[in-house]
Amino acid sequence: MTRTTRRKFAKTMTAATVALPVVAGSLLAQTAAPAPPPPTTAPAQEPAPEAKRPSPLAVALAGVVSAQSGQFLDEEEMQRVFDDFKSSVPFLERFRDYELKNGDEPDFTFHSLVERW
Amino acid sequence: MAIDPYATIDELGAALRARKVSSVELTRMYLERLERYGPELGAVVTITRERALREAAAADRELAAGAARSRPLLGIPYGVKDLLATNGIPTTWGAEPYRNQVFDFDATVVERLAGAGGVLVAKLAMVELAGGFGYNNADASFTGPGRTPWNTSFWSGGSSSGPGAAVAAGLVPFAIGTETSGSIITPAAFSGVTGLRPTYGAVSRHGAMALCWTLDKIGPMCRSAADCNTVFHAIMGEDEKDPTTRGVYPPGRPRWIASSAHAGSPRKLTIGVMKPSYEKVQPEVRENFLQSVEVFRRQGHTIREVEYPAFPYGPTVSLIVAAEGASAFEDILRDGRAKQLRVKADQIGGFKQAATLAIDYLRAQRARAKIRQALLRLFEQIDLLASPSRATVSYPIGPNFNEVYRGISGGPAVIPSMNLLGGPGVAMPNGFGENGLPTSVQLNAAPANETALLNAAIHYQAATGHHRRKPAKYA
Repeated sequence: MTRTTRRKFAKTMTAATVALPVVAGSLLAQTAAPAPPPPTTAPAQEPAPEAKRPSPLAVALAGVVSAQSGQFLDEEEMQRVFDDFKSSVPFLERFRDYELKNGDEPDFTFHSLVERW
Repeated sequence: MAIDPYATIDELGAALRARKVSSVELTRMYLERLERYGPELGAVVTITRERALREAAAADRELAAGAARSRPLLGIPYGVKDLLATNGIPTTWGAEPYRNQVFDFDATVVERLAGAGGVLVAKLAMVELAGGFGYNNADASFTGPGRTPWNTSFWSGGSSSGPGAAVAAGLVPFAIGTETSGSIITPAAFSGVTGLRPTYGAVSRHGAMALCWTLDKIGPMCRSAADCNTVFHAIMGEDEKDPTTRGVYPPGRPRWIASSAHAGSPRKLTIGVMKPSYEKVQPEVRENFLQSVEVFRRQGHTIREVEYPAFPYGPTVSLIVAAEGASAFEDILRDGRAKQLRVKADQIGGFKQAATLAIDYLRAQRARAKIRQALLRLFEQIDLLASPSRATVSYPIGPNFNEVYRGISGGPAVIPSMNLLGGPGVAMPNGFGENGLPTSVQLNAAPANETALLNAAIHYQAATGHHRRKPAKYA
């Protein structure tokens, strides 16, 4: 198995010009039980020309995987990681558009005083 | 005396107390069935023969001494998903990297079932790491794919694949599964059994594999809602070893829950339904769901069409599972053992998840708070929410999930949203669809409202009979 060097990975990313995949089968679509397949209607549209370029965020996230775990992944696997990010990042970016205000606290609470059981 | 392996807990308990059968005889019958059918169904990891016979003999001694009816699980065999720690017996998490893992203690749930007189006969198969790394195929465990006994070319569902298949094939009277987002409801639906996902914090997670600290739940998978109620009663309640159980069901509440769920006549409830949840599902799923709704209506419940609050449920739950899952299994991501996992998607999924940004995880937890508020408001208008458990029948074994059932949609993301809420849900068989596979209806409720949920489910099953059907080959 050929392991991916960072230089090789950077070269792959520079050369990447493929269209964004239309299925939501990656990071943002996964749960502990399988999600039903997405409907074929809406996502089947031809992506806009500017969307054909991979998002810089997808490149960056794939770069993080390469830096953290590249020694365990061969070129084909790294390519799959990158492809998965290309398809999932648009969902992530849409999620980031969901409006939250300063007062919207996370759904867990830190307690400084906890009674003993 | 010949005992029906599909008998309910109540029926088995009555036979044991009447001395028509001993717990050792019952246990031997299920051990034989586990050995005979377990492998072909991909349902079993470890048969716990020695422990089972020891626990069964102890139960027989108690029964001989005249055990009271207040111990309904005394002498009853059961299996657990192989992510619950069991003293001295391997606990593999369904995953090659943990195949030889052995704990020196019992999970709280196992401890409580032992205390209730249950007889552990098997550690049951599961999707590796409970699906935490994004599996996309049924063949996602070192034991191979779990097969539904109704048609073994199809999956038993995940991630509690073994509990689903084993209960459906009469290899155990009941089993314990777990759910992070759909892992009890889905195998209950695909295997044609009844599954209860309890309120988050109702059942101690101590000794259970952690996938996602803020979402993991443990619950029973049984022949009936009444059996789920019995088992839930035995495993629920506060546990000092799991702080999230504090206050959810304080001492005193469990006994009340168990008895009121069984109340003589159904409580009249308002049950919400949403057209988008059944409009674009498979035709048989829709037809069977509408018949279930008709049963609820005939039983005096008010059926109300509701609009589901619009929120990014899928991304929220996915980001939480991604971040917490990568953290929970950081050991095999750091040393590369994640590559030993069965499915390619799992082999690389954890490495991707480890790149989740903290700000995105926190955004998901902030969105979750708003989601919970909105869903709690919904449950101020209705007591229960009904929908098809899954939009389709089970997936075939072989192709990836996204390669089949294209164009089918279950509408609102009920499973992810209810898991984000932390409320209880029950999935019950309600007929059959294509390829002879079961369909299922799910009811969901506000947190800590298991009583209303189980009351409605018990009475639904009393009026139907779908849960009593048996797959021909294993009958």
